[in-house]
Amino acid sequence: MADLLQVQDLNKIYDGKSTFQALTNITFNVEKGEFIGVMGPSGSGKTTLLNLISTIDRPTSGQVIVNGQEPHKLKKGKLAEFRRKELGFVFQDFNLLDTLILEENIMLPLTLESVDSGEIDKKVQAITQKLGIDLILNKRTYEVSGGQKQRTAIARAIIHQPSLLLADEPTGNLDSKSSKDVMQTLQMINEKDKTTMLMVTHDPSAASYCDRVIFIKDGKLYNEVYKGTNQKVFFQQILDVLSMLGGDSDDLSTVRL
Amino acid sequence: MTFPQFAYKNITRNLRAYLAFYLSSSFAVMIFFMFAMFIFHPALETGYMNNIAKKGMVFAEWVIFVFSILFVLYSVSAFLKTRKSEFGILTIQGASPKQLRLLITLENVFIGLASIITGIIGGTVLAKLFFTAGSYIVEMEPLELYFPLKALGITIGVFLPLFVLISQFTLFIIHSEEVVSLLKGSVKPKREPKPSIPFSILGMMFLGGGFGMALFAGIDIGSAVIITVCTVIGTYLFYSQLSVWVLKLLKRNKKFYRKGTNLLWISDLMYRVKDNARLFFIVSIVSAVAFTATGTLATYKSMFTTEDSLYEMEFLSYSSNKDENEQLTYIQQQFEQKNIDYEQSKFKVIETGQGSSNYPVLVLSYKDGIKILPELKTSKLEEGKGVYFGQTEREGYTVLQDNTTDLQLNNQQMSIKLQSIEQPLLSLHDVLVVDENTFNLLKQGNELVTFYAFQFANSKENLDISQKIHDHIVGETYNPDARYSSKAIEYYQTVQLPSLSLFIGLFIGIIFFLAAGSFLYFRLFTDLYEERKKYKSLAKIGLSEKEMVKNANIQMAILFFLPFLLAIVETGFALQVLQREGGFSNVFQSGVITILGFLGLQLLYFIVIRSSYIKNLKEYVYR
Repeated sequence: MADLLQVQDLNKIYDGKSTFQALTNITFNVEKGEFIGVMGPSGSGKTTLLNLISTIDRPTSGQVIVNGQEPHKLKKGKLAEFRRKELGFVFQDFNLLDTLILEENIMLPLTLESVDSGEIDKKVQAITQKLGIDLILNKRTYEVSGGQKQRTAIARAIIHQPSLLLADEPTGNLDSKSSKDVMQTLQMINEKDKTTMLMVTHDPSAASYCDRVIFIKDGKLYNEVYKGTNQKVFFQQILDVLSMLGGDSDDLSTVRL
Repeated sequence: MTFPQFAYKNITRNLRAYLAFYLSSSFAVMIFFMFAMFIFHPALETGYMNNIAKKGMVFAEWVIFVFSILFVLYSVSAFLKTRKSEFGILTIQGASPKQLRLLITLENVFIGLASIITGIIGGTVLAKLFFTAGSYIVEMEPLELYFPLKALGITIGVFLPLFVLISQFTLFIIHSEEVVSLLKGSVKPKREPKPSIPFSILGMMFLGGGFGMALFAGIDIGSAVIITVCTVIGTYLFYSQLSVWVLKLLKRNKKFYRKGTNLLWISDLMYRVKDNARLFFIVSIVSAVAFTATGTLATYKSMFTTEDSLYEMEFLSYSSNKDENEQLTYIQQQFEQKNIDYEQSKFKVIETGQGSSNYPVLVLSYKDGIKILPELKTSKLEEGKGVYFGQTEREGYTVLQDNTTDLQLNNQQMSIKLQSIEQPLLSLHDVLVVDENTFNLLKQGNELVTFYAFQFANSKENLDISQKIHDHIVGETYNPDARYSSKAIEYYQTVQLPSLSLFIGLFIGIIFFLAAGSFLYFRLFTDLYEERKKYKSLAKIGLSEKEMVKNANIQMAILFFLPFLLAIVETGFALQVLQREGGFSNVFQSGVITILGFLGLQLLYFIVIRSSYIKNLKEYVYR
């Protein structure tokens, strides 16, 4: 299958009082329809990587190619259009607007495109039924639970059928029941709509819904694990890698020396 | 570290957070102080300013104060909102409510003192600037800068307690919340407002009633108060209720609502309708006051036109006047006291009516006429004919029909053919010069009056003695036995007083306008932080820079010009009342000019604020 996302030799250096290399030579590809997870300890560069892919930040060197386009070479105006058409975002803190009801939050990307009102209604209805939030569309953000907010955010992210859905700790603010709901939702979208997804997470159980998880440590690729047939086995594999990543490995090496 | 030190460090190390609060307070103080300085200005205190005008200005000062309270309250609550988490931390660390209260009170007093000082300094500088610029505009001598002890006292005496009181009030906000929500510092989203039908109807009724009364009702103090109250309440309800209906209607129109950024700004307006209603209300009322004051006072400027009298002072004494000699001595005394070299002329003249439609006229003999106006010699006066001079002050006096005038002689009319009608001569009276024979003839049937005329240099600087003499001879209103006129008073009333009124009008207008502008400014920049966050997250989901700018533009334009529009409507009705009841003839013309002027200023203000606001947004959202 064709690669939807190609990341090649990506470097990000933050200049400042002390120069800091956040990412070093990151290279990986994501196939069309793949659901990929990115894990790593705090400060490992996960969020930087996501920001680079999502075009919010610019790389120092290297390439990001999404669906055959290189967004970092686009002009500002085109960039906004690119984000709107090709990318969908799900954030840890939902990023819903308090001023809007849930329905309006979901349709926002379409209204910015000035899509016909009737068509908007159809799309909103279809998507919210799929995500099970069709009965709370007239509520305001503070009237619903965290899981419902995140599913609303997911609906907003996929209503314009982006080629790549980016999720930044989507379960970070949720309890385990809501986390499960949200992850199942994402998995379902991935399977039914064949939407390509990239998710950054801390949560191993959330990561176990992915097809593949890549691990980053200190800005470098560390390892990757593919899911077999069993999610529970995959979960255990992830835990194993994390325990190696966890910080004891350095101590071990000094003992060995 | 003592507690006051802690409070002090809190402020000095976190100046940015306090800055908006400090600046807005300074601004309120500045405006109040400038106005107080103006009211208590010695030149106006001893001057001849109308009592009503003075009361109006004191009223305006209190209006400023009430708005200052709202303004400071608004900025202090916005300020405290951003510091909630700080209070949460302090509470967890074991700060008692009493200590928190002390801390906030101390901080407020520090900031209050600082802003009083800045406000007073700023006010003094700006006042000087304004006095100079204003005097240039209205062509009068600049009001002097003085040491405004009274204004200082009042400003400090009013604002210091205000800051202490307001800090007590703000404590309610903090105490009413749990520590958890303080720590999170979360501002709970507001509910979408539901318009109430009865209140909306009430609002329409108040507004309609106020405007209707302004159009048709007779105006006295009672109805003026009713109109004002109706309009004020109606304005508030207009914004808090009717605007919700309008927004709802816009929302219902899905085609419009779901197009581009419309969804964003309409829902945002809806969301903030309560805050906005208060702001719009204040700005509308304040602007309407500014427009009306300036527009009304500006009309004075164009009301009078005069031509100069030949003499600096004129004094006319009838034969019934028993105090003539005493009054004459009084005048002379005044000159001597001021060391003024003067030349006195005395004429025996006749005052007689001329027909029924014209004012009485002073008849002079040709002999005296030549004394007054030597040029008369050149034109030989024929017997039975006269030369006519109008009165200086009167504009467009009735032109005498067929160049004849009918003078009263015993019980019959005596027609005098006018040889010519000349430029005005005196300010007290019309003058008719006739030949000796006719004069003698007229003398028999008419009262002979004594006319004194005084000439000296420096006419415009003797307003004080002119005023004294006027009070001595004429008294408060009218003396049937004697009349008096002075060029200095004349000049004051026709040139200086209107200029002064225009100046005061401009001053009030600008001050209120500044107040309205500052409300808008601080509103925008206290919300900037949240707006930036909002646009940043919108940018992530693909809001382009152009769309953000467009959205911000629409929101700002509404903020700046909606209250302005209502203020214009309200001013229109106010001016209508003034035109009908106040006897101002050209109030609309000056009103339109005033409003256009303010519109220009507002546009300029909008452009400046807009560019800095959008620049700030752009820098943060799309670095």
